[in-house]
Amino acid sequence: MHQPKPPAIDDPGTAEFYFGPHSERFLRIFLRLVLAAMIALGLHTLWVQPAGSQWRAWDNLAIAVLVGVTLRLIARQRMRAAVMALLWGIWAVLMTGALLHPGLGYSGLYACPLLLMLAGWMLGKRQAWAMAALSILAFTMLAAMEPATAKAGRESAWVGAVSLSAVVALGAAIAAGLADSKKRQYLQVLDLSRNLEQRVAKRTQHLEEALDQLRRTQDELVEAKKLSSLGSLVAGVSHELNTPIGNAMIAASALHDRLQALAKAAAGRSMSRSAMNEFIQVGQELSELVLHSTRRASELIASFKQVAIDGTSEARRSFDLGVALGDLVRAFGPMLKTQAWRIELDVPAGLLCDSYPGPLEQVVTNLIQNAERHAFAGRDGGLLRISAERFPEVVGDLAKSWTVSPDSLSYRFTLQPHIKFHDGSALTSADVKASFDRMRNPPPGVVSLRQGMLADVAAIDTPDAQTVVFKFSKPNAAALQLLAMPFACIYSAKLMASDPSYPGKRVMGSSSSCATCRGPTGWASALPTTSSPASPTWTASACWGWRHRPPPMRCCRARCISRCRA
Amino acid sequence: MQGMTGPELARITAARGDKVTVLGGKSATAFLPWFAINTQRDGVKDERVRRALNLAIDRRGSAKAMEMITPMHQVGGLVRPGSTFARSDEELAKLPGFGTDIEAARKEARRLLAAAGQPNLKLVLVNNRAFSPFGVLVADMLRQVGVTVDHQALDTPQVAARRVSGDYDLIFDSPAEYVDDPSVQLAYFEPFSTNRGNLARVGDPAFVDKYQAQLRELDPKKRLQKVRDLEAYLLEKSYVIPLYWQVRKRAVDSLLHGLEHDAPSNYVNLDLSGLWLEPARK
Repeated sequence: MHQPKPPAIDDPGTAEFYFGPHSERFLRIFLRLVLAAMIALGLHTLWVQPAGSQWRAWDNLAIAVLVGVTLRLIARQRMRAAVMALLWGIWAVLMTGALLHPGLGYSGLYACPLLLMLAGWMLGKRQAWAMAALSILAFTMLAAMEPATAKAGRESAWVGAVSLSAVVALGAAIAAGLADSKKRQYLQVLDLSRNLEQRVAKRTQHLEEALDQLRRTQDELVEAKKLSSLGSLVAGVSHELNTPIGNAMIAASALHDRLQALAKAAAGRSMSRSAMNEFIQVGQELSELVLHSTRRASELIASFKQVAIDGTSEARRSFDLGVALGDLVRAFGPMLKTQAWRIELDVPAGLLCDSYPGPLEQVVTNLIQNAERHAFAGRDGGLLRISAERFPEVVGDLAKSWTVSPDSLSYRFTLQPHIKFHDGSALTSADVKASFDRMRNPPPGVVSLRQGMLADVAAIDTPDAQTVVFKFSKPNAAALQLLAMPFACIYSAKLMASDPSYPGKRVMGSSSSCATCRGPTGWASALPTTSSPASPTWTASACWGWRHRPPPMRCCRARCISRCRA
Repeated sequence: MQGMTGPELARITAARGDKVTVLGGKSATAFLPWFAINTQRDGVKDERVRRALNLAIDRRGSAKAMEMITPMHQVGGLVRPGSTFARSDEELAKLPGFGTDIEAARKEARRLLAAAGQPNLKLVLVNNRAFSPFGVLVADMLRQVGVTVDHQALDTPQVAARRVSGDYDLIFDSPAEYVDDPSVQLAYFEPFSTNRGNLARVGDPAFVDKYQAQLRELDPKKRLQKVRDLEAYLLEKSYVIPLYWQVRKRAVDSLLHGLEHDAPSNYVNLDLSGLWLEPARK
C-alpha cells in the first residue's frame, strides 16, 4: 500500500499541512464518510423532498463533488491544494446557496466561523482573514438584496448581516491565533531540526572532553598508585633499614660517651685498671653491635638493589634461587605487613640456577600481586607457598634448620618455635630425644622394626629446648634420610615416662606435622571409636594450632574395613 | 593409594569425560612388591635354586599383561627406576631375571635346578588375597621350569601369622619406602637376627659388608658404584623374587586441584593441605 511521505519539515510553505501519517489517514476516512453522506443526502433530497426544495439536494451533491476533488488531490500528495479546495469550495457552495434562495436566513451560513478557524489552522491566517473579508462582503450584499428576496424587513436583514460579520470576524481572529501558535511550534521544531546536528556535534565534543578528562584522571590514579606503591616501598625500606641503623647509632653514641669518660679519666689521672678493662669489654660489645648492624643494613640495601636490577634485566646469570626469591619476598615485606595472608618460601639454601633471574622474579612478582588482588582479597587469611622441593632431598618440617659437622658425625637441628602437642603442651627437643631413643632402644614388649637403621646413632643431646644434636659413631651417607623417616613420630616424653605404652593406645599429633588433630583446648576424638569390632571408625578433628595454615577441614572420619568379600 | 589400571582409567574417563583428570603415571613410585624366599627352608636354601626361581620369571614379557590388571607393572631392579641409583635398561638386562631372552633364562633355570638336585621342586607360596594375580603369574612361570607351586591366597591376618611363624617357601611382601636411598630401600636384607622384617630370614655377612661399604661412602660417585655392586649381589643371591614397580595413576574430579601429579613415594605429600576445589560448574 502506498504510504504518503510527510512533507519536508523545513519547507515553510507546507508548515500548515503536516499532520503526520495518522492524521492524514484519519482525514481520508473522514472525507470518504462525508462524501458518502453528501451523495446519499443529495439523492434522498432530490427524490423524496417536494419540488421547491430540490436546490438543497444540488447543494449536497455539489459538496460531494468538492469532497471527491479533495480526495483526489490528497491522493496526489497535494495537501495544501486539497484543503484549500475543500474549504473554499464549501464556502462558495454556502454563499451561492444563500444568494440563490433564502438569503441571510440560510442556516448554512453559521458554518462560516468553523470554516474560518479551519482555514486559519490549516492554511494560515491570511487565508482566514481573506475568507472573513469575503464573507462579510457577501453578507453585506445579501443584506442589500434582502428587500427583493426575503420576507423579513431591511432593518432586520442588516442586523443579521452585522451579527454574522461579527461572528465571522471573531472566528477569523481565533483562526489567526491558531495559525500563529502552530507557526511558532513549527518554527521551534524547524529550529530544533536545523540545530540538531550542531547540538549533537557540541554534545559529542563535550563527551570527548569528558572522556579525555576521565583518561587523564585514570592515568593520574595509576601514577598516584605507582607513587603510593613506591612510597610504601620506600617507607618499608626505610622501616627495614631503620632498625639496624638505629642500633648502630645507639651503639656508636654509647661508645662515644664511654670514650669521652675514658679520656676524662685519663686526663684527671684517675683511670683504674678495672675501669680500663670494663671499657675494653663494653667497647668490644658496642663495636660488634655497630659492625653487625651496619652489615645488616648493607645486606638489606644490596638485596633491594639486586631486586631492582633483576627487575629491569633479562640477562642470564648463575644465581642462588633461595637468595633471589628471598630478596624478592623481602621487598614485599612492607605490603604483607598490612595483609592477613602471608608468603612461605620453601627453597633450600644453595640451590644454584643458571637462568634468567629477571623474568623469574617478574613471574613471581605477578604471582604475589595476583594472589593479593584475586586469591586473598577480602579474606581473613591465606598462605602462598613457594616451594622448590626436589625428591628425595629432605625438607624440614619440625626442624627449622640444621647443620652438619665437617666430619659428618654430628647433625645439629633447630626446631620450629612454638610447636605444641594436641594437649597444649610444648614440643621440645626432649620429646625428640625420647622418641628416637624409643626406636633405638625399645622398652620391653615393643618391637622396633627400624632399630637397625638407627644403629649408627651413638648419642642424642639436647643443649636447649629448641636444639637437638644427633651424634653418629660412623659417617652415614643416608643419615639425614634416616632421621627424616615418616615412621619417626615424635611422642611426648612426659607421657611416655608415665606410660611407655601410650603410643599404642593413643594418637597425639603435633601442630608441626598433623593437620587433622584436635587443638590445644582439648583432645578427645582421634581414637578408634569402635562402631563394630570388624570395622572400627577413626574420627579426627582439626588442629587449629597447625603451623602451616588453617586446616581445610574441621573433621574427618575413616572407617576401617578389615575384611572385604564380594 | 595403589592407583588404577589402564582399563579402569579408560572406563572412568569414558563415562565422565572432562569431569575427571588423570594424575600420575610418568614415573615409578618407591614401591616394589616381591616374593621373599625363605632361606631357612630346605627346598630353597640352595642359592642355585633361588637363582633358578628368579631366572624363570619373564618380567619383560608379562609386564604388558600386568598393566591391564594392576598398577604394579614397571620392570626395574632393586632401586627405583629413574632414581639417582637406578641403572639403564641395557645394564639391567645383564642381571639375573631381567634378560631379554626368556627361553635362555628358563633353560639356565632348569639346569640350575637339576644341578641342585631339585628337578621336580614343590613350593608353598603364601600370598595376600589382594595380590592374587602376582601369585598366579609366578606359579605359572615356575611351572614352566618344572616347579610345582601351592598358591595359598590368604587374608591379611593369616598372612601376618605365617610371616611370623616362617611357614612358607615364598611369601608376598610389599615394602614401600619414603626415599630412594639404598640404605633405606635395601635395609630389608639386614640380618634376620636383628631385623624381623627380613622375610627371606637370611643373615648374609657379605651383604652386610657391601651394605656398610656403600653406607660409609660419602663420595657420591664412589657410592653409586658400590650401590650397583650391592644390587647385583642381591639379585645373584636371589633372596627375593622382585615383581614390578608401582606406577601410580589416579582419576580425580577435575574440580580438585593441588594434588601432586607424580609423587615418587606413597609416604610423601600426605597432608593434602594444598588441595583446593574449583567452584562447581553451572
